[in-house]
Amino acid sequence: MITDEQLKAAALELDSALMENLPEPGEQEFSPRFERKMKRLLRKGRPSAWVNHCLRAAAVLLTVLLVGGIVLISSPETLAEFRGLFYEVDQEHKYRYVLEGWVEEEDMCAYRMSWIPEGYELRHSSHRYAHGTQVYGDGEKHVLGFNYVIQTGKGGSRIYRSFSAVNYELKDTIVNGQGADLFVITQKSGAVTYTVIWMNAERSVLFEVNGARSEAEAVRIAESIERTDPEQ
Amino acid sequence: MLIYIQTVDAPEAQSLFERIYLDYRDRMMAVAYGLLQDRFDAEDAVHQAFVYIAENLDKFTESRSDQVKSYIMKLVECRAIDILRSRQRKTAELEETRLGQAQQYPGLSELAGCMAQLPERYRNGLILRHAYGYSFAQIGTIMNITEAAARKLTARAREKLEEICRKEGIL
Repeated sequence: MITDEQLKAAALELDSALMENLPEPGEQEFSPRFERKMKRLLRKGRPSAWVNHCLRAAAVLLTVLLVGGIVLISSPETLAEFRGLFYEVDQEHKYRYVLEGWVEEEDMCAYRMSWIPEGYELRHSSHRYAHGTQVYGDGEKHVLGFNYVIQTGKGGSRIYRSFSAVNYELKDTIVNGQGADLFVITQKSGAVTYTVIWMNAERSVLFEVNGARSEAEAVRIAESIERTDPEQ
Repeated sequence: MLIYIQTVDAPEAQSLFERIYLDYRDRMMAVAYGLLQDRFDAEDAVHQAFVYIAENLDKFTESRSDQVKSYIMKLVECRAIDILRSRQRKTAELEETRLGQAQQYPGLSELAGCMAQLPERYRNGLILRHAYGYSFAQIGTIMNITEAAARKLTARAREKLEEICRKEGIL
């Protein structure tokens, strides 16, 4: 009785001897008929020119995306411009902001404007755990507003801002080095106001300053935003 | 990415099938011709083996290993034997001849030496099954027979081997 182990060892040994003693290949000459048949078979096994073109196109596209990504990461101005391309999501001019980071419970705070243009007085201020509002008025129906929303849990949030009822123009600006959206809004009365929307570097808090009377004023207010004690 | 674009047309991108073809066609031809003694029949055997390889390319991950070489050589041997059989030429003689004329490979162990005396198909069945662990279904496709026939063939090969071993006084 031959065991499987003995059979395996013998089979491997014999196969090795057979492979070593195969007839020498030499320079074989194949007939034109064989060459033709093999050429057809090889064509089937080879990726077509069309596949190669697709691979090349994909490689070029990936290169563009990679280089574009590096440019976007390294230039806040370009990133702000790029972001603007994707915010408009439907006919109602709704803009989507995605909060991807989050603030831990112990780091929760409130925010407030620390610079206000002259002539404004505080009308309203509130802070409710993860969002807050401040409203200033100048006594001439001119209102300056500040809102913020804090993302408190993992998983991200989408916040939509709609400008369906007014004429506006979207521009890009920079707030404390971060790309921001500047909406130049023409009210029904013909008055022009400036709204700035931006996120902090961690993308965990969304801020909005609205009602400013110039771009410079809007950016100055935005850059003055500071953390404050929620109890104040 | 730019490097990738270049490699699409580089020699390394040459298909596995082309590599197998270029690496083995001459050796396959020599093996098939050794069995068939007819150039055109041998070309048919080589072509049929490559058709099988092209249809089963997913089973190959490389071209140059001992296992791949052994597999391909057995494949072409089986195709060559099929051609002999289908043309009703010397089939019985072939089996008898190969059984009667033991191939000598110096240095083989007694058991491997007895195995070398088996007819080609029996020998190949045992090697595919026991040296490389191919399933009966895989052996069947290589040898162009059903799975059940492959099972029967390897069982008979084992019986035959034991018979030879007994004659040689090993068992």
